[in-house]
Amino acid sequence: MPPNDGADLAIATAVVHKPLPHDSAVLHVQGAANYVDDIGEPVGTLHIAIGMADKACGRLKGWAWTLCARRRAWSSF
Amino acid sequence: MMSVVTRPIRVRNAVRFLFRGGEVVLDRFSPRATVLDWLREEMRAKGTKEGCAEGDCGACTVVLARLKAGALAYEPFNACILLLGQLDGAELITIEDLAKGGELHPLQRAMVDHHASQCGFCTPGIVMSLFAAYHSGAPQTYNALCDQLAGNLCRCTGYRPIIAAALETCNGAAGDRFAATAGSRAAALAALADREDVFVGDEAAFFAAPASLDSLAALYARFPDATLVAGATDVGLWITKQLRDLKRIIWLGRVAGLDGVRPTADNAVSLGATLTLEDAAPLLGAIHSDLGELLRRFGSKQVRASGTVGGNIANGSPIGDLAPALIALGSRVVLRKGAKIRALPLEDFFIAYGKQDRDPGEFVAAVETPRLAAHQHYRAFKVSKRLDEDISAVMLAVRVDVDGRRILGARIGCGGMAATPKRAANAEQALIGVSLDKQASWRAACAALSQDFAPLTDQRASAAYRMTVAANLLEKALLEISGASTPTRIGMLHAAE
Repeated sequence: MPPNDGADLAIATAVVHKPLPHDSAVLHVQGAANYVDDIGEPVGTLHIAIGMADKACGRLKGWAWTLCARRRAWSSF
Repeated sequence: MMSVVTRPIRVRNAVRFLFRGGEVVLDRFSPRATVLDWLREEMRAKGTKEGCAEGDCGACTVVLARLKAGALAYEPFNACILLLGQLDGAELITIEDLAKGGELHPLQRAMVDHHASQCGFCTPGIVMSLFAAYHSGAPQTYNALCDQLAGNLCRCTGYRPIIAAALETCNGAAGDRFAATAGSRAAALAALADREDVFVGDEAAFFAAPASLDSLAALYARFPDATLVAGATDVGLWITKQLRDLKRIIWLGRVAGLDGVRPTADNAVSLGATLTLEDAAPLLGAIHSDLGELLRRFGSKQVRASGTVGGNIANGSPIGDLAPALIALGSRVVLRKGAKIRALPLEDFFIAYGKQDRDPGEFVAAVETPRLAAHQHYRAFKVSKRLDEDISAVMLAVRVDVDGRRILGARIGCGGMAATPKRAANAEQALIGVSLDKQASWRAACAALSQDFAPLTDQRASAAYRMTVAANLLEKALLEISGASTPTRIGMLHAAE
């Protein structure tokens, strides 16, 4: 459908071919933009370390116990 | 047994610095605490970002304002590897300080107007580096800004709009509120300056900053296992990357006179151990322009503001650039232990990887560097993957002494070619008596480098590449010294086009 008049076209293309400042630029230059690293961790945040198995399909045996021991070690920090 | 005479000294048990318009006094902190951790974790000031945590990317750049020769000097530092105690006596300025009451600093305004941020993560560090340039007192050129930003890695916006914003703003006449308050801030800094030894902590764990050479000698004799810190541009990484639990730190930055520059009796220039690389650059550049260029490419502005001549030597790194450059000049290192002072040829200081000729309790006091005589020619070349802020694959420096067109002798210093900075004895021998007019006769010396070195293959370069580059650099030096018109520098090639 063609635009019904020139005014609509002007609105529709108002941002085309024009330089626009970055939405967050004013925050960037002040160090005020919040990145994930800047958000405080809630108390008790669980940290997960991923250990990779060398078998794609297998049965978990004694290794699980080691994992639990490690977990205890971490939580004692 | 050597004895050290101690005198009663006044000790200040806190570090003091200016921050956000007030004085901060810290009398209890971990000696290995960094400025970045203090800002982000203690002050909850998250504007200063952590990128690489090894002084490379510049996302954590802060500015220290300090009195230098009576005037306020603004220099950028990597907060991630700057120890908290190193702030003593300085004003710490961070990204949050620039805008006031909702009004952006002129630099910030220009950065926004020029669309000079994209992801924005490197932006606070870039603004702070440019803030130092803004207060440098000189209009910034394109080239000067490229050097200023060598230690600020941006990988999405691109530097063109950043430099456009800086060229528009950094005109040499600072007109911000920092300029308006310079007088009162300088007075506050002057009021902080005292000559007291600083000791924070206890015998088991401390941050100490002795104020005199005698205090340093006495303290280090008492705690020979303490870690001496000058600029922390490497020790900082022991903390952030190797997670070393350094408990006793002696910072050299307050030792009066340790950064002194003096002529020696034999007309060499003595560079005090804590003279920063930034301050040493014009002095070394006056000895030879290649040294000036080497220093321009040495780390980054942030690293040169912090790192020192003595630190680069004492560290003993096989890839530190200063050692080979100064070995070729025939420099001496001056060491002090207690009251005993000795000097030795710089090349003899480096014994093996990680091992220097330095006794427990002994420290590097100065490096004495001869100037060049009229019959001496000098060249220094650094080859690295990146032009700026990179570690050398090969660093080669050579001094050639001539009698007319005949080579009397040579001193060749190499970095990146062995476990230590090392002279090339066989190549030097092969140059004796050789004519500058017979290019074919130089080849034996270039080939002899393979008897002097058996370089490693690592991520920076292969052994074969290093060997080839070293031989080519020596030939390039000789070609230039011989006066041949062959273009050997990139600038000459461009000029020829």
